[in-house]
Amino acid sequence: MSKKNIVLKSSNGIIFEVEEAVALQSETIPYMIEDDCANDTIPLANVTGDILALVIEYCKKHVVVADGDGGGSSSSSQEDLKNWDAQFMNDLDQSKIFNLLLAADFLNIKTLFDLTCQFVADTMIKGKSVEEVRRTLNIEKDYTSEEEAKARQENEWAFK
Amino acid sequence: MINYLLMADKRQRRRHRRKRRRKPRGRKAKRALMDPSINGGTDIISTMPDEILHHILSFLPINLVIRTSFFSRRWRHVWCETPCLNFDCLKATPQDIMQTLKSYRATKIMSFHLTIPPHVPEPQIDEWMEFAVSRNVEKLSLFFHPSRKTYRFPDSFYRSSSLEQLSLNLYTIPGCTVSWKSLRILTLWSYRLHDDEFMANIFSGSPLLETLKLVGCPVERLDLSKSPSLRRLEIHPLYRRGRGPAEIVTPQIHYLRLTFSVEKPPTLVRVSSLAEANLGISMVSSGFRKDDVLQTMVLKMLAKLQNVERLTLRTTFLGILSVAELRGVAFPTLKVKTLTGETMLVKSVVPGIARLLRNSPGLKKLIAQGTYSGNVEDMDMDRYLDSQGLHPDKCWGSKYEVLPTTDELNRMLKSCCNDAASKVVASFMEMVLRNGKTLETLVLGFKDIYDRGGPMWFKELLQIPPTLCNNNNVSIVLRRYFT
Repeated sequence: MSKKNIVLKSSNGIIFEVEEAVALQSETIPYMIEDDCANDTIPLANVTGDILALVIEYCKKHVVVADGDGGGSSSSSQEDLKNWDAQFMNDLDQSKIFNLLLAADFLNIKTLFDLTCQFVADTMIKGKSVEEVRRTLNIEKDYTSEEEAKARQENEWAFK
Repeated sequence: MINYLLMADKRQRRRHRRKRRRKPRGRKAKRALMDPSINGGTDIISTMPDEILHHILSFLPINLVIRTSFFSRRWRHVWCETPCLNFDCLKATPQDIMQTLKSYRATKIMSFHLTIPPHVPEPQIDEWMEFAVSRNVEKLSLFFHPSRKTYRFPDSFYRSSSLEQLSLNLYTIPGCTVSWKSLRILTLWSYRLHDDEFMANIFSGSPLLETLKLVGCPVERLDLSKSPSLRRLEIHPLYRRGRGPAEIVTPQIHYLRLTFSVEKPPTLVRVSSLAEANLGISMVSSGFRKDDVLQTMVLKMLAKLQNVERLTLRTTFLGILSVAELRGVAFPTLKVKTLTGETMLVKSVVPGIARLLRNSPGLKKLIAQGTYSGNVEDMDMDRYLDSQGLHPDKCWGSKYEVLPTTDELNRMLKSCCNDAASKVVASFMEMVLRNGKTLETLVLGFKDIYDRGGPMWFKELLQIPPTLCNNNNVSIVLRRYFT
């Protein structure tokens, strides 16, 4: 494996140098490399430094295990990663989670996108009433009572 | 030299430091976001594009997905185009399902899981199936209520070109030629597979079919030689005593995961392409019966795995092998390079593992994955040895004395008996290094013990002096799982 490094620059100007294999978990970055000169810094206008640091931490973890463990223990290393992922997400506050989710979407890192989306579904929506979800996610209820009654009537069963 | 690679532990310490440093700031931010009355609570999620919201919704059952339409006007119609429909709730009546499908607008269903309530008239189910096919469903999973014995799918169902994964629990004979051009994974529950024509129809119509999973499908002879694309086969009994295939003919399969019941272990016939196998027995207490049919079958099965390089054996399977070893039965020689034991480090599996190590001259890696599933009753094992005219105490001898029975190990972990537990691990390592002469890596996994004094115990393990077997050049990896 080549040890070439790639330099990424966050929206607030913080520079990160990472191994190519780490960066290439993003399906967006290869296009950026093709577009620009490969030796140049790749600017990521949508991702702030603190979020990019998290993205890189995630990618580093996932690349190391995939390479270092050989084929022999695929199931156990997968499980290992799952545990790591859970711990990784649990340490983040809500705004970080959403920004990480958006960064994963922008950078097209499928596993990180799945992880953050599932985390939002499991911890912010599941097991909560509509009112509770609104509070958790700061969603303002802008329905008139007529509209709300109509919406409810259409899908009454989902509230049973 | 023993080389400890402390991946999990190192990671944990680092995380701990970071958490401490960041906590005050993080907590404040969280509170501000959670409660709009504290200023700055912004609604980020509602500003995201629909495609992202759909992906979030794809992890929820349909009733929760529909509920999001009550959040606000922004959310009113978001759910209608979610690519995943998961009716996993038995609460949905046929009317509920119909109403939902009427409002549903996506033209492509990525995943459709439907639990079909009892007593739904067939034309109604036809309509749902036609709906799924017309919306280009990729992954379809149908669970019919057990009270339904028959249903004939509409022909369009057998001609879905978008279908990639199908899971089905109702036996049905296609009334037409099957054409599932994209089907890759097929899961059948409780199927009577004795109709060869039915299987031939499916195989010839599914040129990309790669994985077949059979759950509780009794059949005399499972012959898969007519599906050249098939590479992976999984066989599970539905209940502990449930029957599966009696004979398995799978000349082209590369991966086999097999769980069989004690009552009827299957015979493997022509499995020469197998490169990876995972074997387990769903055990009931009569597992160690007086006759040794099971033992013979298990050893025969091992002998058939001649080309397997990656082999995983679960607790009960290892238990049967242990008895064979204690009785001095001959073992086949294996070509396996990576051997995994899904088991706790208990006495009942160790003789079996030791023997496998000696009979695998090409073995490079042993993974002992700590898990609590599928215990062997040590009493049953001793009773069996006794019935064979062997003295259990004599059989076990002093070689395995340090190793605990399943009950002893459980007690040890409950009472945080760290010293004793690390001794167990040390003696297991010693046994492995003594028997596995070609071994390069030993991985010891510790799962589920996290809440049983695990962290302390794990630290204790790290103190095991690396003086054991200095001559071995084996890397030892301790891996801890968080639960």
